[in-house]
Amino acid sequence: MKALIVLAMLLMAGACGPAMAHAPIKGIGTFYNGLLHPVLVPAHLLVLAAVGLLIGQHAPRVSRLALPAFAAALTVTLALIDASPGALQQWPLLAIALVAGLAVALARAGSLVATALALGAGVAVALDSAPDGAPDEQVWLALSGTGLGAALVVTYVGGFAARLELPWQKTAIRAAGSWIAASALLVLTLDLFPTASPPA
Amino acid sequence: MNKVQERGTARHSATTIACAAVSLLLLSALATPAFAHEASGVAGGFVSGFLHPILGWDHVAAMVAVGLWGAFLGAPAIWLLPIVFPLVMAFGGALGIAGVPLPAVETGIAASAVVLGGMVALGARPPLWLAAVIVGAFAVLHGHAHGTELPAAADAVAYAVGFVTGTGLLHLTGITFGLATKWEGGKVAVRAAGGAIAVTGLAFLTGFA
Repeated sequence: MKALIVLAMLLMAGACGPAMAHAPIKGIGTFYNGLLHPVLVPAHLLVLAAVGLLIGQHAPRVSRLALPAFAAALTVTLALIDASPGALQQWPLLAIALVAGLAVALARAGSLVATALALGAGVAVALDSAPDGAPDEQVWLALSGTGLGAALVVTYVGGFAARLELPWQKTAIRAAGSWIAASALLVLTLDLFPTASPPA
Repeated sequence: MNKVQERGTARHSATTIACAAVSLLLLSALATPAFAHEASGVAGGFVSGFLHPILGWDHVAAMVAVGLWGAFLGAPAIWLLPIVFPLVMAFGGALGIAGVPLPAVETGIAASAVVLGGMVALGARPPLWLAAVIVGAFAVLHGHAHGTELPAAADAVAYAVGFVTGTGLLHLTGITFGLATKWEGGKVAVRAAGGAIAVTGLAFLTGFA
């Protein structure tokens, strides 16, 4: 497990680049801008929803370990980027969304796999959440909001998925996982082959 | 709650959700662009992705036919369909984005409406693997056509999510209509719809539409 975490951290660190601007919403303050950040960046929402569904689909077996792991990874990484801000490229987020979405679609995931994906999601989302336009003394406020927002998305999606027990509801969860994986696969390919296809 | 009641509640809930999905699809098809706000960024990407499969009648015909056929085939096909189809279609989309050429994509898309509509019209019930191969082959072609258009989107992630959601709702529309096969009159209506889709596909194929 530790080796997996170190490998994931190294891969993501290698994928870090300059901070790209996510335009802040004026007038709502630094904290709320941070809070809304995971919801307003589609790649973040995709990966958080996938991990939330995965945790909820196999709750409580998986959620006991994966949910605290996600929260810990998110918190630690947000604390680290407060000191050294940067931004992650999109592909690690999409790769995690793809694998987590596939795991949800297949409805098969062990605790170890789900926890590794939750850890990866926490680290990746946090690494890509450096606030733009916030005064230096308020960066921690924005990052606190982002941490809370991301944790809320995973908790709510996971809690909702855990409550769905009828056969057609379980199928709906698997379909949602499939849709997330399909979306991630399309954009991941686009990232890998940015100029291969002519524009419509 | 006994099993009969549970089954009734589940069917009622499924029907409610399916009706909501169809309503959303109809409303989105009726919606016109909001000129007060520029359709760009995340919202613009999602909307253009969502509308893309809905506004192309060749795609609509084939996707609805897939749902109708799934309903005819019954379980487990009806439930496997919304899970497997988007993934296979995304694989086709990835080929399109990567610039991997596929022969006769547009012809294949028009042919998909003819074949899938024909299957519904005939009430064909082949083995699951054969149905999966037929639907999967067409899914790759539809995905390939969509994939080549993905790079033009304002926000690629939002476009892809909108596109997959729009396609999924089209399936759900077909499945919902296909639930009418529980009644004799409904079977006739669904098979007639399949026939209409096949004829429409033929019109696309021969250049009349």
